[in-house]
Amino acid sequence: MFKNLGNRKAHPYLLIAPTIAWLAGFIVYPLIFSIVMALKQFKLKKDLSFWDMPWVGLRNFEKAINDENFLGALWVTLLVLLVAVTIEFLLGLAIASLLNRKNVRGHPFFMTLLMTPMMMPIIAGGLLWRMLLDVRWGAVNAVVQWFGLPPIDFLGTIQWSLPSVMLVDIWQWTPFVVLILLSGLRAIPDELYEAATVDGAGRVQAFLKITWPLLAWPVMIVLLIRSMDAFKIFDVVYGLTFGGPGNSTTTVSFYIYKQGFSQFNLGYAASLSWIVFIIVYAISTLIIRFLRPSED
Amino acid sequence: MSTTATKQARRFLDALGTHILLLAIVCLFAFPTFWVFMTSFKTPREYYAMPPAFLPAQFQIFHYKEAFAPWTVDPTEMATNYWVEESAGRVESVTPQIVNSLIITFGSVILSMAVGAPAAYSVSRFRFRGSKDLSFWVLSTRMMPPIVTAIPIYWVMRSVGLSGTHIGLIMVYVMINLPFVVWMMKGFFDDIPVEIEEAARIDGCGALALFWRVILPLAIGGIVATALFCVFLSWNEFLFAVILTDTKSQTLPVALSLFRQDRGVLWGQMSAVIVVATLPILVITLFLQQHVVRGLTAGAVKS
Repeated sequence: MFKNLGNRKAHPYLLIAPTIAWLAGFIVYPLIFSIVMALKQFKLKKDLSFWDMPWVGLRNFEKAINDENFLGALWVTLLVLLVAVTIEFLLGLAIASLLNRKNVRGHPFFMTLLMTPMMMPIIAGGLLWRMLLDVRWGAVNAVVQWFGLPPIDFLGTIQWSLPSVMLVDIWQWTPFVVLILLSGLRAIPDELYEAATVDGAGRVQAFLKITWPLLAWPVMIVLLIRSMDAFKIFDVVYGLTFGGPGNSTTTVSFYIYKQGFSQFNLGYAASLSWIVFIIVYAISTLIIRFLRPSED
Repeated sequence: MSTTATKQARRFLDALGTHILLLAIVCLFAFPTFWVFMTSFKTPREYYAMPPAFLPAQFQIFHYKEAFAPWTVDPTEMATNYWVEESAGRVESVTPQIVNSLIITFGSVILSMAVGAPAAYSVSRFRFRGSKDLSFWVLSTRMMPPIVTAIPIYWVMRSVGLSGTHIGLIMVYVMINLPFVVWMMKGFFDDIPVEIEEAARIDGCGALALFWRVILPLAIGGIVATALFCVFLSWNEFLFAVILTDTKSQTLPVALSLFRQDRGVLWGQMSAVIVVATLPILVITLFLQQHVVRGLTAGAVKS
């Protein structure tokens, strides 16, 4: 089949074309179409066709900028991004360094146990923690009461609900950070450390002068992926708190979902998702620019 | 002599300390999974208690029968061992959702491999104009929050009559899997020496035969690893599943999500479904840990 085409230069394009077409059809086209949706008063109603829905110009975007609930959801997402991702990163770095020590045996055992949170559907993680954090019968509150403290309503009070979502996120994704940082640490040749020891460098110096610069790439990747994931947080919230109490755990993904699929304001939801797309694009560009290791 | 002895002792204590610390950490991470596994075997009297029972007195498979084959549940057993609330919330088995999940997972995995593997071969073997940009763009699509495309995709699927069908969800999952397929398979193709291909070409092997008969058999390990990673992604996906399925095409994660509303009190049954939903992926990871790790870190670690 390919032989008949004669021109061998066409092969690479032919091979990659289906993938590009698929991604264009399911990412680029929807993105463009969602602009059209955002410019219309796009409601989900029976017997209301695409052509019947009136154009409203930029009114949806105008509404979004003044929508306190949306700004609140952005704030919640940003908080999760800053707090949870920082903790995941520090904890992940600590665990990866421990696992990378020369005297550690039984890697597969540790890794298997460590990776269990990632293996379950995220929605299951949310539901399971809903059980663990329950105010009356939860295992976590059993520990709290064992310390002689009154039980804590983790999921029913505003000051505890967001930390609970963060806790589940940290539980589920720290192992991922460990995986990436560990493979980064393993890629650093031992000779560098030996040379540093010969030169009389201490542990701290070795970390600052060798480990940190060489770990820059995996660190950038892990921060990039986890920061973008903060905007994806949906399953955990769905299973754990359903955005509540109030709007205290409503992240942007969850807010857009609610706008689109329980209020049926598809046009408004589309305009919100475009705003999120622009924010995500800007943040990822910033992270890449600031953390990109110098080309060598 | 004594100094070497103390040195050895210190080294031993250091190693011991590291292992104890690591064990404590991984146990903390594994505890919730252990807990849900135990809860699935407990009676309501054991999990609706303060403090809840750490281990079930007897391993009951009642909740599994209830969740997957309710017709096997003995009503008298129900009345004596389980609470009334338990029976009040009883609903149909989740077996149909397991079947849906299997159909959608296998369909999307096979299709994503068929579409993505040639693309991976293309970016691994050929340097053409824009090849770097294209492959980077493919990888960057994984950063995109799915909610951004979920709204328009929902509308389009609904308009063309694909919402609520298996094929609609399969098509979306191929989109989710593709970046991983391309980057994982590119790594595996890179590992195959070019000399083998050149030798085959000299022997008069055509391009298609080369790919089909020489390259694919050599990359079979990578194909299995990549496919399993796609199983992991498709099996666990929730957002698109919840908006694109109806009662007939629901997948397992959607069935699980119902436990937070009307079935909110059925901890035992919920735990049984969580265990069954987690088991396939856990078994895959147990036996093919390195491959799963490779998928998770695809594109993240320079090789």
